[in-house]
Amino acid sequence: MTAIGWADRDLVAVFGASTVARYERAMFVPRKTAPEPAVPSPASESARAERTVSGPAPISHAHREAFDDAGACAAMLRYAQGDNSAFSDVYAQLAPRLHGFCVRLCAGGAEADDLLQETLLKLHRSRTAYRPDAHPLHWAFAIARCAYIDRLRRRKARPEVLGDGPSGLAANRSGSEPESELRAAQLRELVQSVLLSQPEAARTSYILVRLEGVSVADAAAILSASSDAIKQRVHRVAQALREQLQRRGLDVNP
Amino acid sequence: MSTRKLDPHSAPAADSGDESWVADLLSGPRLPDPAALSALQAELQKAERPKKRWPILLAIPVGGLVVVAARAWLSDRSLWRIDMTHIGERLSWGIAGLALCALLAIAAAVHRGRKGFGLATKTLGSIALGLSALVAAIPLLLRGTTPQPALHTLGAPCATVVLTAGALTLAAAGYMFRRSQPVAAQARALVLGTAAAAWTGIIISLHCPAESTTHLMWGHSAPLLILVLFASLFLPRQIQP
Repeated sequence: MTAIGWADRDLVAVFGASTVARYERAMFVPRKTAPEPAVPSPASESARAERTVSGPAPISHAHREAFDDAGACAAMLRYAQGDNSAFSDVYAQLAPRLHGFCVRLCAGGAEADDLLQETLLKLHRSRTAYRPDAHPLHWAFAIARCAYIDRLRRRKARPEVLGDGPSGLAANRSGSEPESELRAAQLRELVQSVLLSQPEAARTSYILVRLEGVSVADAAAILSASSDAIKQRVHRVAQALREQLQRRGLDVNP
Repeated sequence: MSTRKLDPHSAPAADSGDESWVADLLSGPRLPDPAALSALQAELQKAERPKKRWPILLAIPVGGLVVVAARAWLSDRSLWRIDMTHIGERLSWGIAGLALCALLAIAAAVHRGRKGFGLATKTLGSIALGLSALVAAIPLLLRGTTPQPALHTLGAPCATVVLTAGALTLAAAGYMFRRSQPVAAQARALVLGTAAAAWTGIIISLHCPAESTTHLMWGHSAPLLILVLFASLFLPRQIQP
């Protein structure tokens, strides 16, 4: 996932592959018709490596579908009963998805890492309150959202500079990056700026339902709202995204 | 890692459902740094061990009893100034009503609700609003015409007892539910405050024989509502992770 916090799969999840491609075609110089070879060139690979957060190799998109519900629940139950050794299992099961959620909430960067750490600590402290009928990942999402709202409140009380926002990151990009990645980055920033302009509840609803693949009923439980309210929030955010893209001359259905 | 790019001329339609060719291309969520995992594990070793919560339920009425007993001892009066062998019908109904409010509020607070996250905010809010109105109204139903010259007109000592006993009850409830409600913490705090107010209402109704409307309103009902307000202000921070 890039430093901005959005992988290309998120754009595809929001708009569909053909829409993303149409946007690139409409706004920028047409790209080559033939796909590039599967083996990446050293230049593109190093350019991507410079922008991405350092760490182990990324997990493939298939990880989301391969989330081990039974394993996560079992690990969380052991952890909730006081078995500290279960933390590694809980971490392995939850951290990738939880990190992605934190990144989307915070627009990426170091703040997402801090939020993840804070969430895991809160998860540890509240583990005895975990109920077996709650999905552990959704439980973690709810705790992450709590921590994020606390951060927003502290930021309102004591405004501080947290580093470059998405526009700052875009401005710092070098001119030698591949054109297609630059186009995708600009699209990501557009989507991110629209999402950040939405109220937190609407933004979180959209992230949960459209990007994390959580059902409307589960999102309603996580956000303590009705299913209708969740649907309305998601629709409102999708409408805002659609309007922004239509201003750029692209008819989409996010 | 493949860097095959999106090809606008060969990409399938968005509604075709066939986006598996994109899955290999795009990167998924990234695992956090292993060094951060080690640091977090070290920090987690210092965190507290889980404690049992349910024994704290016993402290909920006991706290109030302690305050009332202390007041009785300090003022050289009997603990229960009601004649416990002849509790009137009105008082019986009043105490039964308050007990029912307390049990309903606790049931709402601990209800598993949807997907294990408890009842929704609106439901909890409605329950808190309705029950707290009842809890405040029930003491007023105990008004009568028996002259009681020894009692404070506005019920200031009773208000002190209610607020002190209620604070202990709220503290017990906050300790029992500490760091356990990631969802709807504010609404749940209101419901817990209502339960604490109901318990305290029972204790003060048995402790104080007042029948004056002014005394009951300012010494019993108003402090019970203030307790609910305290709960909404101070309890959410305790009960959310």
